[in-house]
Amino acid sequence: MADRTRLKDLFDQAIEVAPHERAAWIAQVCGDDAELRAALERWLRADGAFEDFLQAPPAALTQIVAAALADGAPQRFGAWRVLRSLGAGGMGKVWQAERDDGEFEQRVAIKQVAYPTQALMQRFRQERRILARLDHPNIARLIDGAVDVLGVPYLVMEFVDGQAITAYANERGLDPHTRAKLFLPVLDAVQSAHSQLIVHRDIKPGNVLVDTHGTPKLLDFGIAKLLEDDGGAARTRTALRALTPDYASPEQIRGDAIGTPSDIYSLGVLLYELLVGARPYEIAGTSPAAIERAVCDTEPARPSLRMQALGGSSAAGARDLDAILLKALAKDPGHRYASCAEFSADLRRWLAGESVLARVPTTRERVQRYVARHKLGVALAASAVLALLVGLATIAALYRQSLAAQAEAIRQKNTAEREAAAAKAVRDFLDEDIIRAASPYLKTSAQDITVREAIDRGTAKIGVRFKDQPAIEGEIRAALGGVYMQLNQYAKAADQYAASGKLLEATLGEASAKTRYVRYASAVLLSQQYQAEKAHTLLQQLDALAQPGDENDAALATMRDDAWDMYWYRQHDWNKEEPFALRTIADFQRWQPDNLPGLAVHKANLVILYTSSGRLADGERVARGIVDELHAHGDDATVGYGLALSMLGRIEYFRRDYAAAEKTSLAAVALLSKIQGARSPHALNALYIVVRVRMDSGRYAETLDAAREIHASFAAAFGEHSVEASQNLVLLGACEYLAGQRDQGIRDMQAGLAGTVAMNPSATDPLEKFFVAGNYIDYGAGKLEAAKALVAQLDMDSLRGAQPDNDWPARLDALRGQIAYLDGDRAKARTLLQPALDKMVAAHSPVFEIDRTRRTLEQASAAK
Amino acid sequence: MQADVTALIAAANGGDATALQELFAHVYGELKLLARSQLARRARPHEPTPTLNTTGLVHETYLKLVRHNESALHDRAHFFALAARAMRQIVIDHALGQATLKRGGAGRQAVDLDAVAALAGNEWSPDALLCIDYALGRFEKDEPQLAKLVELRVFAGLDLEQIAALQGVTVRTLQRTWRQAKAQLFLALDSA
Repeated sequence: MADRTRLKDLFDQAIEVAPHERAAWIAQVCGDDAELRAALERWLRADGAFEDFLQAPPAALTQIVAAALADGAPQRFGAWRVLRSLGAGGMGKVWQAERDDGEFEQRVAIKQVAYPTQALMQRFRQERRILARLDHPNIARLIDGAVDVLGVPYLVMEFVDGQAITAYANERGLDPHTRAKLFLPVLDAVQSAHSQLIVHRDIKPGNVLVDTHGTPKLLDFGIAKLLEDDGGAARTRTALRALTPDYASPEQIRGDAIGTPSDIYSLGVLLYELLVGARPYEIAGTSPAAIERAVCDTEPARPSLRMQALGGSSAAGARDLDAILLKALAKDPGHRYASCAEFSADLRRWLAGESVLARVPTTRERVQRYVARHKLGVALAASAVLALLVGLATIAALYRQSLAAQAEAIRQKNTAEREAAAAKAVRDFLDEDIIRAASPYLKTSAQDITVREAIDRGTAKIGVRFKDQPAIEGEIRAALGGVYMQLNQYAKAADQYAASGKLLEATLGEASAKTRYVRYASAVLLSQQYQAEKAHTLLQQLDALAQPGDENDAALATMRDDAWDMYWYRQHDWNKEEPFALRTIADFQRWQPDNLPGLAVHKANLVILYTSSGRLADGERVARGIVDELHAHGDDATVGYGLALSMLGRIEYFRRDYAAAEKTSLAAVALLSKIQGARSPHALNALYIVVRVRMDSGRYAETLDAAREIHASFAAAFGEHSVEASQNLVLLGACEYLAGQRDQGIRDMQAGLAGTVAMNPSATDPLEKFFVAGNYIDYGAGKLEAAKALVAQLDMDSLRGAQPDNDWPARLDALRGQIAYLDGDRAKARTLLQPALDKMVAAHSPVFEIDRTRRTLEQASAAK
Repeated sequence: MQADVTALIAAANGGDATALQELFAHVYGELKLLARSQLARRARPHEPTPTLNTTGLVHETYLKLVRHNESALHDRAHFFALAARAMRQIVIDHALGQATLKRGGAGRQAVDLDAVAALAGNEWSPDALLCIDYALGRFEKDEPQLAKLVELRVFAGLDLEQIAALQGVTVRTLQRTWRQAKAQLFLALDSA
């Protein structure tokens, strides 16, 4: 801590210094004392922030202090004499009072807000007139309104001697039909207010009383709005604090604009509680995050599953009642009843045993709504989470189907319980283990919990969560495998698929389509991880289990053909790969006909195949097709679009159209980074082309940062010694070497090459060997023998397989000519280098290769 | 009554903490009493919103409790500090009562950033006063003089000139001190 006296002294001086001279002044007086300087700057910032604080005591402050000093029950309000306190709520206080002037006897309730603001006073005057017009037998009337001695407004309302509608119904043990009938006048009353554009905003049992005649009456219409403090930023907090969150709508909780749909939601909660005996969800805790999570995220349990008895209602009746309540309780205002009249009409239909207009949303609709609601939280990996959600929803649906089939011998109630339990397990996993952990409102520290971490944490809990449900655990793990695949976390994906395969094999059998689907996915990952032999063995095992109807199972067919596609891709056997690539596209179209972004990813694989095998025109055609199609559907912020762009950039690079290639690839990098993160493999592959473009056109210094980024990212994602990291270490070494860091470059190239060979000799790309050989030759001396060995391993086929360049023969001859020169065979060198140089210049080969060839040729041609 | 107060003041000046507490209770009660009667005097229908003159109230309390004992309480500044502290207590008790209804009594611990922003813009609410009380609690041990200044301004409603006269310093000096106090207050709020 800096010396306070000195600090205060300096502060006093600093505020006399003109603001624009202050920085220099501080630097001078504080010298090297960084602590003092930081403290002084903090004080000065605080001074700036509180500049206007209490320049003059504001009236509002005086009023609060006055109210505090005068605290105590008022005796009277105008002509009304207070009889007793009826309680205090978030908004203020309520008293029972009676007319005091002897004119006539009337009991009233008087409400008063604790602290009025200017805005409130103004609204008070406006709204009082509007509210006075509300005249409905089921709405407690506004009788009077004025300001008290302190200038605080109060409202005089009809006093209703009754009890909350829920307590009333419970005390009398009313059956569901009678309860629903009791609710109809409430809907009519709210409808009447809504038709005058008056919104209640605070519908709850305490505001819906049933009087001594059995007539329901709504209290406090429009009061919430009237008393709501609209202090700008304070609105959300006020809404949260003042309202009863149990009945508040999601838009109220979020502090969004409130309209009649908000009341419909609250009525839905109230009716739910009235019929089921419990609210649709429990709010665990009082923090804004807990409230928001419960109200905005928790899907209500189907009421019929929670009701003791429906009074002889049929299954259809139960479903209809679910539909009515879930429609009123839709999170999105647009999905609710458009009016209380519609709500009421449907409820009347249900009471009459007619079918209702509302219907229970399908699983898919629920998932879509869920995802739409979580856009903020899951934006990082929306596609992955969507996959997970769809996967889980499918699981829940499948499970229900299988239960339904088994249930013939089991009682209906029993099934319902099991169904509820299964659905709950899945929902809890989703809500609590994954989504909740990823919620931006639940940061446990300054560090964000990413979706990835959330999924990791959820994954760790699967074993416990689904302890006695191996079939569901298997399905969940399969879904997670898919999620990890989309997150490009292949090792984790492989783990999940392997575990899932075992569970499904044990529960469903090895021949089950689901089991085989998951194991084909394992095969994809084996190939992906360069485990060719294991992949091949597994693929043959699985193919041997093929059944006649398999082609009808589009999901299975997609995974099977994709697995073979991946296998042959890793083998660089383009001819064998092509039919599988085409079939995967066709399978996927059958499987998910509307999923264009997903289809684009499979089509992108075909583009990669065409590009790798030198069919650039075919590749470009398919890639442009993807781009156009996705663009036309507005899906251009998708992985498939990014991949297509990335491949177009690569094709332009192969065509040596460097300017276009760089532009397109940078666009792909930007898009893929945005969707998947800057360090995702797809983004890095596009960045790789940017590096190659700059390298080949002689802009060496500009390659370094990107090459380092690529290497570091692959090393972080796949491991320091992975094939991916090693390959890109070679690239980095080549960039360093060309940029003038020759020794460092040689070291990195050597280490990278050794790494790829150590991990998997077949994975060593001839391209890397070619780079390294060229640079070794240029380096000369100690590296010549190693260069010779590398060149000897290179052949035209493998080079063309790695990159479809037409100038490979000339470039390989150029390397051989340089070796001949260094070996002292100048004649051979000239014979190789001259035609090579001509062809390379014509083909716009990489500039450094042309330079080296020309230089060696000049040396070999020079007189000795 | 009068004698009691005289004795209390003497004891409090002598460093008797219990006496100081009792004196405080007297000031507290008197302030509330005077405030009510002041408001009641204006309680006529259709009168413009009455505003309580808090400064006047403190003076009135001073006169009532101490008038005959000026020799005993040499330092008016001490009395005003005591009154400001009592006003703070009254206001905070009241605001806490409100806050308890709203959020389970957790009000005193939580200082939210919105409230700080509101204060910087001179938007006043019971919550804002709770925040100030909380922030004062954070720095009054290290900077009792600065905290006292905030108390006098916010809770007793005194302006800088009145306080300068009370403390026998120049307004200019006090203005500098006030800026220090504001900065401390903001830092205490901001680091909560």
